[in-house]
Amino acid sequence: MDTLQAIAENLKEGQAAKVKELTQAALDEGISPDDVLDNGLIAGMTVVGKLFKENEVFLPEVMMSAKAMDAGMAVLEPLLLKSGKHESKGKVALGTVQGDVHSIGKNLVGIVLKGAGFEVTDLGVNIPTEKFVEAAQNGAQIIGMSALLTTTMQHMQPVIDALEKAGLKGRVKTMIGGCIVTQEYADSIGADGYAPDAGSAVDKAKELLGLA
Amino acid sequence: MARDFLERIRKGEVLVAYGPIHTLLEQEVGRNLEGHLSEWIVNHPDEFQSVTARYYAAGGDVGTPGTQGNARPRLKDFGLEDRLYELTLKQVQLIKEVTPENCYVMGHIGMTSRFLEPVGDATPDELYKYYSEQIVPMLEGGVDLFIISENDTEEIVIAIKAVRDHCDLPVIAQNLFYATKTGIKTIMGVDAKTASARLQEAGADIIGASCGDIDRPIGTALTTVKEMRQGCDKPLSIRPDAGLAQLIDGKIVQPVSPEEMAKEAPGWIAAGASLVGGCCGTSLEHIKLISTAAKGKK
Repeated sequence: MDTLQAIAENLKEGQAAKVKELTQAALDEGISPDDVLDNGLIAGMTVVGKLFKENEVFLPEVMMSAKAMDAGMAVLEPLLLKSGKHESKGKVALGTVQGDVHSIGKNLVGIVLKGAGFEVTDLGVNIPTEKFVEAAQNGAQIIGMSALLTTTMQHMQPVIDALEKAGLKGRVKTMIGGCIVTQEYADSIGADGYAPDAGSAVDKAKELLGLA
Repeated sequence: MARDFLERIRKGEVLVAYGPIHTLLEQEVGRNLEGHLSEWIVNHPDEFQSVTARYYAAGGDVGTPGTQGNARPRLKDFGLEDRLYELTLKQVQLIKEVTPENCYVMGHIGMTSRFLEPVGDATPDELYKYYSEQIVPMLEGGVDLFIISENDTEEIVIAIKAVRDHCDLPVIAQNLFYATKTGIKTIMGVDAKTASARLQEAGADIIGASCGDIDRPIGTALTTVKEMRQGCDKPLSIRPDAGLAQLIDGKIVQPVSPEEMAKEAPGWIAAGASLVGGCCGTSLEHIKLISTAAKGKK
């Protein structure tokens, strides 16, 4: 197994210390930071996302893999910044809508998107409409909204409307999720995308940005 | 207040419980969406008491304050962490005032929103503290029993210990289960049989499941009860939600009707459920029909 494969494999197993060590080893072998990121860390996280989508692994495995990814990124980030060449797949701002404090699903989506190479800003929970619009004005290409309650999912449409009012519709795509949200609901409120789980959210985000 | 809750269950009686007071408040008094549920309830005591009284009148035996979001980290999201004691105590006092003699108040201990190490960064001691500081005002308010709902079975185990260290009241321990491609599991990947065995070992008096997506497709709730039964011999509790939300005529509805859900209740009871009811999206009508179905089984 070459070093990049070993990085991906250990990331999948959630072995943070090992991933950190192997990331350094790959760089020492002369592999470029971009290559280590794309074919080591991101490759590993992509497998985790797929396993998660198939319910072969669950939240603990994803979160442990995310920690391993962070350990590798801590080594890579200074070099990626220095080279200035590396571009993210796209900018995503995520938040749980106003009145709703459920964070787990949103966090998982953030982890997996980050793992797929997106630049993710987590706005947090209980996020009012203006904050989502502000994030879009600040460059987010995708606004992701989460809600787990029938009472709070009603706060998704106002965000979509406000983005349109601010003249951002089209440039900014909207994605929604949460355990009671459906594709049908996404269609009915004019959201650009819906994903039933974090793994599917990556595919959908890529699709919305024309990367699929 | 009656302390014979477990006695009645052990004698074979089936009781009706309800969790999501936020759903009932929305349906019955059009609670607006702003702010934290606990703060709203304390600011609208009449509405809360009136809806709770209607719930008991519809056939509910076990009522609950809206305390499921009162763990410190979750109150903090709303800047309310300094009011934890007051917001918890006041709600219990309010519901006690409208709880009939033969009914019970269960203190609802909900998720902390933090995960245990190594998956998250919370230590067992921190979680124990989060649970304990809710238990103390609930006891002062006079709850009859506790219900703990968490995503991680191991977190429930810590909460059970916290309750046991403070009192000898009955504890319902419930996981949230989801119908996944590899079976009915918690978000941590633990199946219902394993989870219930663990909760029995930890000393829970009643072991249950709620919300998640255990009632879609219809019949998943029954499978969940059967799988929990494989892992323990404690009385079981099941409170499904009313299914995936749909937007109909500008209103969000969850589609499992009271009739559909009530039709399932005898099956849950036959499989071992002693406490039945509804979770998110279920209405007073659901409770009424489930109660009728349950009492018919007595």
